Amino acid sequence: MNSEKPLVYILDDDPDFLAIFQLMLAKLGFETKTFMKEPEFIEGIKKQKPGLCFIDINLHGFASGYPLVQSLHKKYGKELTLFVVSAQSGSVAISHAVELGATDYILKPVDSTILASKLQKFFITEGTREESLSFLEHPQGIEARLILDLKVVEVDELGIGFESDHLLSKGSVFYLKEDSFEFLKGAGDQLMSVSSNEAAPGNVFRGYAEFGSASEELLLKVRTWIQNNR
Amino acid sequence: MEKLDSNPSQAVQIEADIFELVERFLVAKKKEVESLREAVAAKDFEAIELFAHRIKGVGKMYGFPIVTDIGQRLEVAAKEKNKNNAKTELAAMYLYLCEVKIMKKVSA
Amino acid sequence: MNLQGKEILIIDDNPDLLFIMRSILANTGATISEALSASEGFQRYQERAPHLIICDLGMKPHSGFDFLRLLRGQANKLPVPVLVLSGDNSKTSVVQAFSLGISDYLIKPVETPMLLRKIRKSLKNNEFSSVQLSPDKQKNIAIEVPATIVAASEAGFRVNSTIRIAPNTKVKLKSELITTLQLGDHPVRTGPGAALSLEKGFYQNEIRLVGVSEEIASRIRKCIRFWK
Repeated sequence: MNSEKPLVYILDDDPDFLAIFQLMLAKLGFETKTFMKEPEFIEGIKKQKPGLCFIDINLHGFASGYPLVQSLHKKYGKELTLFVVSAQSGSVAISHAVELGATDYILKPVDSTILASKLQKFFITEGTREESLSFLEHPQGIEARLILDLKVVEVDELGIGFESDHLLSKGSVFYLKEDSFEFLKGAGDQLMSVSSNEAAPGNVFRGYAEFGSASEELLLKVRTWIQNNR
Repeated sequence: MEKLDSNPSQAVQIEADIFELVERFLVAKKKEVESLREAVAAKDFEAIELFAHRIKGVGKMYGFPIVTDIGQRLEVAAKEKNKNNAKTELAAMYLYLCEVKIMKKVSA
Repeated sequence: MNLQGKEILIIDDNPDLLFIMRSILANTGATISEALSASEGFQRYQERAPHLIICDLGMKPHSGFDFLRLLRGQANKLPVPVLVLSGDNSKTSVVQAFSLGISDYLIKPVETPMLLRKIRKSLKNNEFSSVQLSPDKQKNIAIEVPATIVAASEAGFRVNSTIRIAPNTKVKLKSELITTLQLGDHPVRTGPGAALSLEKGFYQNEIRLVGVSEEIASRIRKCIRFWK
């Protein structure tokens, strides 16, 4: 394992916060550098990219952290991991930060256990390993559903052709929501069965899923939809 | 971390390596609160809001969850431009900062 | 012959013929729809989106040719294969029908084996068309994938599923556990690392909670303590 401590940058205009947060991170095994002003922070990144940045979203009382997050994400993309720090706990603020490119969101006052658990995903240090959270392990598992986006590129009478960043294994099933297509209206969620899924250029997967246990009514609706949309 | 009861005479245990920093913090914040009395009189709610917003974000980190709680209420009072509530919360903050005792945590 | 799942439209102004055709095709599994005129035929075509049309020519007031022209519209071919079944043996009729793009021309009365053969051939040579969505029309739709939550902590969840989700993806997790924890609207993302490959076709995805407040963390801790 790398014996060098991972480097993190902190941008915040509150010296009290910087002092205590810096110590917290040092205890978790991180090397830190603090900044109180945006220009120095940006320069600092140019000189040496840190493993992670903590950015206070409410710099100088204005939500000026947001444009900074956006521009840093635009410039560095995956090369720079950005964590937003804020006292605001609303899910709207959190979603907004993430939409702009933040990888995660830390609430003030910072809880060191939560901090360690989040950092653990990115860096294993002595500190993050120790502060491991209590995990509830459920071997049988709790039933759940994952909801995510799929791009449909083709519709034929037996199913749909799709493109995705994710890999759906052959034989796996998923559900199309009623409001995805006109021909599904009024019939509830439609079961789909993946019959093929292969890697395609551009780091995507292309696949095909058939309408599972489709009624005559559905198949007719699909055919008429195709006829009208050819 | 367990929530402390509001009896400030019960000493807060602080890790040895941050003890001095916490001491300095208490002294500095107490001074700030004192100077904010003028702000209340002058109805400078912005200054109070900024102070409250900042202290609520760090209080618990220094070992004082109560400071975070009072800070939250003070921020609300300042946002609402409620002079009476601001005075009350500021006084509560001052009282706590004066009376809280800290001691170095003895490692097992 | 198995024509299960196929829709065949028969257009003829002679009801007896419609009856005969229906009987011939009765055991194939195909769904049959009928029309007694060209205009009714066009209406039925729009309603039933058939895989194949069997059409008479000598109808009145609109003939089978009128129907073919209507069906073709502005395109340069027919949208669905058409088998003409006509009593008219003349060369002009045959040439004209083929010029409109029909699949085959059968003379009445037709023998059953021949008819079935021609139907099978038309269906085989003409797959029901698909809609290729142009890039601007390609829809991003939300799908639901069944999953199992196998571990939970203040930071997030480990979720097993037949889908391997790309890192840092915005997802939604639905479960009784999520409802209990009141995290239904809370933003979640997959972790920065790649999902773990389990046994054939199964993956373990790291679903992390973004922006965990003390309130949420303590709710989760209580839940974990309760179940441990």
